[in-house]
Amino acid sequence: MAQSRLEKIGTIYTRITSLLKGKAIKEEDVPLWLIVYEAFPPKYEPRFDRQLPKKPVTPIFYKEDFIRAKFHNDQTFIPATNLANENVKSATQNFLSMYQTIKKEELSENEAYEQAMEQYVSEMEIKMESRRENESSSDSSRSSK
Amino acid sequence: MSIFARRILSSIVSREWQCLRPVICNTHLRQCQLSTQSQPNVESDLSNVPESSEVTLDPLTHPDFFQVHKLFTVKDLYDARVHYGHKETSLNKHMETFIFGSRLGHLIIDLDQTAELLREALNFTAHIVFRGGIILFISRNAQITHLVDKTAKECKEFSQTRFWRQGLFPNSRNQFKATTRLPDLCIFLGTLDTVMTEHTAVRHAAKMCIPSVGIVDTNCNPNLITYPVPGNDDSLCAIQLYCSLFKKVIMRAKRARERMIQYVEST
Repeated sequence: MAQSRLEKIGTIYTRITSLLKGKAIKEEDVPLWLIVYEAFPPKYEPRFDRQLPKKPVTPIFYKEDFIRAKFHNDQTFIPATNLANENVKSATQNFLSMYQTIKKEELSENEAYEQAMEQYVSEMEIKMESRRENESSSDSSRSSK
Repeated sequence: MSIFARRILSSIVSREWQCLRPVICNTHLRQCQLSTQSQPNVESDLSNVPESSEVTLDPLTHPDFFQVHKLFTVKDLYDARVHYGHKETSLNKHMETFIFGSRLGHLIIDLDQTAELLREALNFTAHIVFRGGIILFISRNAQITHLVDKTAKECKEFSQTRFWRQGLFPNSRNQFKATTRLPDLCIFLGTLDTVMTEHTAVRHAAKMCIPSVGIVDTNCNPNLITYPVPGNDDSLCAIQLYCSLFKKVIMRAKRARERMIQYVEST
């Protein structure tokens, strides 16, 4: 079949239609996608040298990022998060929800942050202790066996 | 709603699919003609929409004949982590338009644009399959090889997930030692060959005038892909979503095609 193999010139549609126009391809040899392409042309023309309008990449920030940054500065150890389970929240998410509930009681930002930090640290200690107990109990049960 | 033009009905004997060529400008006229025709209108039950209209219509004149728009929502895309791009430094300049922003150095893809382009791509795929086109799934990501092959097998199409020999498309006569029918549509589930280089098939598909649908991440070049879909091409859950969507659409179009053939044979 007659064909232009220059992918850098025009698009697949313009190449095939110009071949048709010049009668290099017979009507019955027309590829079956051509009609579909005419009916539903792509949003952006698939040209090799296509230049879409420039759009600067804008950074995404949220209001609560201040609190997140402060939290990450103050806390040297942040526990790992299980990404496979979507119901488990990360330490930062937990802290942020604590902060927001405390802040609803109309405290100033600093006070709310400090209270939330206290709550977070105490909760973490409880968790660590319970984990240690579990480990020690499992160790002792293993050793007894 | 399923529905075909009188031209198709009249040229049934020849069974030429070429006759599906639409005449968009006089759809209304044709519909009027058909509604007043003396013989009963025969309709083949193609889509899942209840048949109420007596009008017959070419699938190409319908904006969404295969009901592609109901297949997924932007929330589904978000849940499948389609919006995660690569780092800002690896951005391809042709992808700038599709990017929502950068979160702490990582690019986030604009899912509204992804949804629009993905629907366009799915619709195109469905129409190609409906006309009896051959689909080739291409991917070079080792982790998803099995998934892509399985998807292609399930919808009885083809896949190529291994090393791509240079002349596979432009020199197919010598590569396969026989005259070869090339695919009518290439679906790329990742347009990269290795981490840095683009897949040869992207260029060769354009060279051979084969339309392509491709998932392009922020470090890929979307220009030569006919229907590019910006989205994450590394996460397994995102690839699973794309595969299931393409599979659904292909199966739907194949069922429509079967019914059409049955109908043609019965008359």
